[in-house]
Amino acid sequence: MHGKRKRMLALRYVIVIFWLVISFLPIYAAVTTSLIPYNNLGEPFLLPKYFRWENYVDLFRTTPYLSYLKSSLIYSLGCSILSIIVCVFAAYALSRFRFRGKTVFATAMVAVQIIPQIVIALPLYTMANKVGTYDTYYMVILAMMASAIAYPILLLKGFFDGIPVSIEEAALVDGCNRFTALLRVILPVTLPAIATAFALTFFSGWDAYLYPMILTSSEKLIPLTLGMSRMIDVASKTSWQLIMAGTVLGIIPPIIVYALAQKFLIGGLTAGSDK
Amino acid sequence: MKKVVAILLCLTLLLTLFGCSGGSGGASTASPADSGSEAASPADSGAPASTDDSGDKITLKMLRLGSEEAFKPIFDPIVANFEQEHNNIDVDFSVMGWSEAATKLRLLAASEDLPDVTFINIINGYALAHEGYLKNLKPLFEADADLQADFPPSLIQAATFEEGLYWMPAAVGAFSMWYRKDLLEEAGLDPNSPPQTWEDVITYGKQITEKTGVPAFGFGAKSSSEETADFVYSLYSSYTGVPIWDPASRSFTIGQGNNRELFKQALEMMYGIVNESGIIPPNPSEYNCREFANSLYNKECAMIIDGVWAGKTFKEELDKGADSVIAATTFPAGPAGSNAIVGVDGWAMAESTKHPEEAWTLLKYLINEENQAAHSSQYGLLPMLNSMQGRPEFSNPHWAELTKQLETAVPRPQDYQISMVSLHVSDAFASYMLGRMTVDEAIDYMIDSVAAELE
Amino acid sequence: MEPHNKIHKRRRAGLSSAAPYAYIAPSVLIILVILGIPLLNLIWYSFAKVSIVGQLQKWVGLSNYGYLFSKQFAQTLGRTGIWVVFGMAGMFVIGMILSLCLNKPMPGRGFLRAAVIVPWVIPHVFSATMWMWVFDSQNGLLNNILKALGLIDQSIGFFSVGTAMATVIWIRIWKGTPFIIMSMLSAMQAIPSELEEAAQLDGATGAKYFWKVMLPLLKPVLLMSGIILLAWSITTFDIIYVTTAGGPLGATEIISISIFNEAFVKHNLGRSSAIAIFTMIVVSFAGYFLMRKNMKGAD
Repeated sequence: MHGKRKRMLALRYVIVIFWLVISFLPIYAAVTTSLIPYNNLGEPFLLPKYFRWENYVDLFRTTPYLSYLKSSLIYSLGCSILSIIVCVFAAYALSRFRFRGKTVFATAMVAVQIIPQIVIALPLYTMANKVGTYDTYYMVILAMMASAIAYPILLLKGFFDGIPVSIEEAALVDGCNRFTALLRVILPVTLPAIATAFALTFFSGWDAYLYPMILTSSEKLIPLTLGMSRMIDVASKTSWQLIMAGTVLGIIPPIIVYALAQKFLIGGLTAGSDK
Repeated sequence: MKKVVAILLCLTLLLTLFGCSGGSGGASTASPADSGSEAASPADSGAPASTDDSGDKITLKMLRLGSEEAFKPIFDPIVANFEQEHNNIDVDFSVMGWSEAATKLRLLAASEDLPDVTFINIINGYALAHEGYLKNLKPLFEADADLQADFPPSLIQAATFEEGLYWMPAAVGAFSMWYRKDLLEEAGLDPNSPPQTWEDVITYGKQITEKTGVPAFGFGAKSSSEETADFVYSLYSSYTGVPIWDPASRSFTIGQGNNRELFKQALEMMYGIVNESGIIPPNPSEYNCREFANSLYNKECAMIIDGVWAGKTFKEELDKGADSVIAATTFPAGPAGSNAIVGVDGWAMAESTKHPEEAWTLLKYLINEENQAAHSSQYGLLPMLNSMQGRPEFSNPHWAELTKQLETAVPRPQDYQISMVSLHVSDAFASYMLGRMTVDEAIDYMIDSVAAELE
Repeated sequence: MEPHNKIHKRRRAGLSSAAPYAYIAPSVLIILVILGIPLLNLIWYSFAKVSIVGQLQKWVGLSNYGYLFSKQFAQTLGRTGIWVVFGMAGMFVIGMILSLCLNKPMPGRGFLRAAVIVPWVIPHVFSATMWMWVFDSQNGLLNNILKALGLIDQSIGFFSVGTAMATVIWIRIWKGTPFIIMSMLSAMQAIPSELEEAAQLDGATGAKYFWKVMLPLLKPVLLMSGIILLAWSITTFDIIYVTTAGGPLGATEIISISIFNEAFVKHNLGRSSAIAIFTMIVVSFAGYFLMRKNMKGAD
């Protein structure tokens, strides 16, 4: 039994590490490329040959990288926090109430995900221009939320379903109303799901590309994705070393967010079993 | 738990504030004069600026497609000088990424927000001009004798679309050939007599590949690629002597005279190069011909088809002047000569501009000899103005070769559906090169599928 | 005590008719405002010929929908099917294996978990370009590795007609697997540990425990992830657009790429909208039937 467990553990490590090695090939390529001098771009490589750390300095010198970073953070945090609030309520309704149009609502939410962003772009731009929300953070955040909330709602609904109604009823007897029962009793138990939903929506915000491109014009509002892709030069030679440096640095904040969310995830578990 | 909710709410609130500040900041447009004030002499611009602000000072928006780090250094000083010379005009200069252009230029045009002076590339330009979003500059140009004298007529001809001139050519480049002298020499060839015809490309190529082991000709036939289509247009014209597209009838010229037979010969010749000669790198379906500049620079091939644009990759080598091992020559000639396509992107004026006179003044300023020379030499574009010939920036030998190409260059299909035409042309070419169609099927595919989708 | 309880009950009964709508109102509002108007546009575009900026040129009836019956579109559908089925199968299988590996405590688990989700946080546009450095058919990292290991002499063309689909599916799996891992892990955390102990006492260990006990518990999450992944898979655009743009020779042209090409390359906004509407209807049907089971007590 003990030997078997050890072997299982070894197997688990082997599988995970094998996957990680494959997963990190492109990141390895990016890091290596970010250190190549401009003139040597395009040479074949296996092991890193150049270590031009100045590329990272150049990145901050020649592009408003910090401003890109700030915008990306605002989009991601805005998208994730607002989405969670909206999603918790919707998921709660789906899980706890019977009401007309429930399946239709859930289906419609998923179905509208199919509308390609590229097709929405034009009418959305016109609308934002008319309403006067063009070139603002919240317009972009709202647009992103529309396509980011479907999954968290379904995920949270699944979790709420798993929580016995009796817990809530006990709270109602204790003098809570539905709303405070949701906040005080249900939410703490569903922290793992909320943490996951938070991470997922944060990442959709970080991924935002098309919406900021279409809905903003000032440089201050440009996120990382857009900022980096602006450096791609179709007519002439692209400064890939800078784009890759920007990409490598740009991966770090969401990883930190995930690490933090993960703590909640484990915390949520213990909080749940204490009760 | 209450705490967490409270924190979330606080963050939300904060965010809303952020949103507000972002919005109002965008609306009030933090004085664009800031960018200019660095270069402008303080004594000169300080006083009038403050008084003019309240008066009739106007702001022009100006947009260049491309990357910020490439164009801000070029245009910031030009804009600053312009503002100094015209202190009633502020210029709000911005850069838009190439990847954004296809979607965003249209959105801007649709809501009449196209910047007063906008850099336009052909793919977007024809469509925008056709829909009436760009001003026809022809009357203005024809009223200006100095400008007319400075622009070669062939260039104006190439930029003409639906009988109008919707942008002044500023980014000019034609397909040519780049080659490595050292590899020619190692193969026992004269480095100073590069291949001039397609027959040369094949014989040189075989010799280089055999002697050096390097696949001599960096070439690929990628499908759904503008570059591949541009190559086919060039090849066609070099065999037939005429452009592939007749804008008046909106159709290919393939059916006229002996053109189809010649085009067939050209394609069969390319099929031989790609499939039988053994002189090109593997996996040709994955690259277009313009993706080999790095290979050439790294001595992984000896000849490539590309334009002036590749010069940025070779800059360090080309700066050595006559000692450079990389050199340029004209596009390989066919029976009709070396007739490569020419790209003539340039500065357009929005139809919706409220200040047409000032916009024209700015536009002319951007293409005057001095500023165009700065634009061309720093970014790597042909010195196309008559007045620019003989300038020191363009003294390295490759410039002369690349400029020579302009004399025999042909325009790309002048049609607002050019992207659709290029899509089908490149797909048919790639299909034939990969052996999925016969040469006749490929030609018929081009003609039929374009005709089917033409509006 | 008695009257108080009565009031409470009455209030709850009264709320249940309006309350659920209040709870879903914010999400409905967002979707209506952001997607509703574009959706209406999409519908009328699909019956018309419109200019590149969306202005009506003329009504054409159903002719845009005629394309849906062409051989070309049938091929696109087939390719989309391959893309969705293989992509999702890959993500689920790999995602499940990795979640099982990472579920139980092990030294360094926190780090490994964070490392495993990295592909998810890399924006699509960059993922595609980064993989192109790896898969490049001349000097790509992978070709160099395989050559160094002596496995191949000549570079493999990872983006050629026969291989491109497999390559982009691989990138999709790489990018999407962390999503499954995250969903699975949080669902597995919610399985009480007593349950496993009880199952073990009943003799359900290892594979048996997984199939008989764990999988049924994970089913709701799996179903939900499946539905949403289906929607996302069909609309995936950036990865293919950046790497192959649907080529070579249409080998990777799935529905989303068709929609883009029709609208922005061929300037045929009407046909593009018709394809989009068709796709939406199909997915809505699939979604509705899958969802109906899950939304027990609906309507």
